Amino acid sequence: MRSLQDRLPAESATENTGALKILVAEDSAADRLILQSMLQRSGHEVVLAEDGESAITAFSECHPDLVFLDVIMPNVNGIEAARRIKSLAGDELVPVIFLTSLADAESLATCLDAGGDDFLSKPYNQIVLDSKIKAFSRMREMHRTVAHQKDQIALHNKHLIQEQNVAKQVFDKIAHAGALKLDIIRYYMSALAVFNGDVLLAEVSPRGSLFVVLGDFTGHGLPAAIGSMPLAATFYGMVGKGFSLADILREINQKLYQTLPVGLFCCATCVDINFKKNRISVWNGGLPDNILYRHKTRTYERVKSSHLPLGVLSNRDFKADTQVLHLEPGDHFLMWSDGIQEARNRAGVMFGEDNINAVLDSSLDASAVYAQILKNVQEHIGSTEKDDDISLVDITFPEDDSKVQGLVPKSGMRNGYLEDWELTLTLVASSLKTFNPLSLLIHVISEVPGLRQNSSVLYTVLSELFNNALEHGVLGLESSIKSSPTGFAEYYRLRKEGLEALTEAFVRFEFRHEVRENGGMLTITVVDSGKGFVPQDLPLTGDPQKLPASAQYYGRGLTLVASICDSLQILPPGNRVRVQFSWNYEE
Amino acid sequence: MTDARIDAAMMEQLKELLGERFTELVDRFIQDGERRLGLLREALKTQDFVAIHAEAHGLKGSSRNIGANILGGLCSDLEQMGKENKAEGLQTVFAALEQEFAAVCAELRTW
Repeated sequence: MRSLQDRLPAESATENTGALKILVAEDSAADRLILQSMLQRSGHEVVLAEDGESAITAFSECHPDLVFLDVIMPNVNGIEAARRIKSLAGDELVPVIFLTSLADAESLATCLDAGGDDFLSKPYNQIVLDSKIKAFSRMREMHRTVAHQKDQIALHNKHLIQEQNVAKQVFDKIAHAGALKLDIIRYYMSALAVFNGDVLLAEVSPRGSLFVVLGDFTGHGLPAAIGSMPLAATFYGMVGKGFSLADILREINQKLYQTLPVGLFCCATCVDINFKKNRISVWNGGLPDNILYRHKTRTYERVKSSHLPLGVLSNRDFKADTQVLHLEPGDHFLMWSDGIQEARNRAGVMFGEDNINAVLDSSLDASAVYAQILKNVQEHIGSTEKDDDISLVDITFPEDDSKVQGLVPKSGMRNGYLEDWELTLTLVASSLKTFNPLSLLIHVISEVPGLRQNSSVLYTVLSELFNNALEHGVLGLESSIKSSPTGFAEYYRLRKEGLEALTEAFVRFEFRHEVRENGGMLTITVVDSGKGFVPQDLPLTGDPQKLPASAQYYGRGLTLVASICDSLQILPPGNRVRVQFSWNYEE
Repeated sequence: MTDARIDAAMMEQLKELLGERFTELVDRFIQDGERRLGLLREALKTQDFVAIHAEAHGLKGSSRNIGANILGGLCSDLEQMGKENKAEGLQTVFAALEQEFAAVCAELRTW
């Protein structure tokens, strides 16, 4: 990028000394001579003209910094000459000073109307003349600086627009049209809405549900747009893989919470419309009330914001619970950003809540509400340029959802989420000494949409199974050591020594996942190289209270695992533990 | 302004400002004045008030610039009459103006 200095207009040599090039147009030869002499004495360069016409010619040829014009001159009088000179000068400030002994107010007013900046009366006085020139010289310099800065601003603004267009293209690549092209979704948003902080995304999940999010980031411009990128990427990625609304919200919230600076967050409504079960799940965090407008009764229900916006709370405090409403064909779900209420007319008056309620209360046909609100807002705004901030969305619950189902991604092809799979990971002695496999395994498991929401309990399961296999199986440590007050330290000392001395050993994880009706089943088997704990098959299910007393032998760990999983088995010779964990789509 | 035909202080300043070109100033004043008087004489004949106003105004400025304030005053009277399209008394003022101009020119040459 070039620096500002490079673009400063070249300054003439005379300017550095305070000397100017001055045009004097005066038809009295004696007066011309006197003024010329005075100006030259002050070091200025003088260009002379005897009448109005030659003054205009001299102006275009010499580009003087300052012009003295006699008011009454032959061949184009001073008033007209001033007008022409001012128009030739364009944006540049060229002060025109009238030479006159005209004294009446009316004549002076005419001179000012013609663009005259000051008067110099006869007889001329050197001190008055010099001080006037000095004042105008200063004014001219300021004008030049301002004009230069104005050019800079225009240039920067042009760059900004270019950059926004580039950023918009980047955003459009992430936020492809998705399901927004469905005719059940109508929306009004400005072309560069992402830069006023509004984002609208829609996508159909593998199970045929329609997910829509309308987000309104605090702030404008690039900061607002930056948040839109992770929002869109996460939304499309996760909806496409079949994650639940709650999972998607948690993930988006986490991303925004980590990425965005304090004070920048996203008010949003996210919906999941289930066409099989005729219901809509709504999560509203900080947007104006969403409206479910009933087709049959022409009445409406409000879904008020019941959460803080996305990106405000850490995921520990974030709540993803939704409000679930039953839908019937022809019902309309409407949502908008606060730009609607805050849309101002010329007089600065906001459109406001009352005007929206007036439309909602007017018993319109459900399909007409969207257009009526939009029309009223636009009429309210009139022809001001404010309507860029309006984002209004209307979703129709259709009789026939075949168009939506047509957008269901082909199973596994498009987004590559895990369905049926098996995985075996074997860690031998060298890895057991240095590597904790739990994060890696959880990462793989989380690729199954239904398992991600259970990833924290599955982490507990894997962690306990791994510790059992490593500490009791491979290292042969007795958990009873830990029962004495000094036992814990002793236990971990033995564990450390055991690991260091380890040569021939392994722990193997075997995963098998099967998709089932409305969910799936994960089977985890952990095998270790130890000699085993119990000789017989010991099936355990659910309730830890009913475990055989011998099961306690293995410590709290397996009891906890058994309580989480559908089943827990210890297979002969006791170095092989198998658990089964089933999951259902979160509804 | 003084009652003198030509303000001596103004003359000193101009001589100091112009140096060698002072004579040129005197010549120009006289030539320009004679030209304007000629135009005024014509304008009086044709009752061209616009021209009377313009030429009287021009000569007034030059007169004041060299400190010929009595002459400037007469020009100002004539200018005003031209502006007001006032024919009455024009000749009298013009005659006084011609006389004063001749006197100013004569005095100028002594500087």
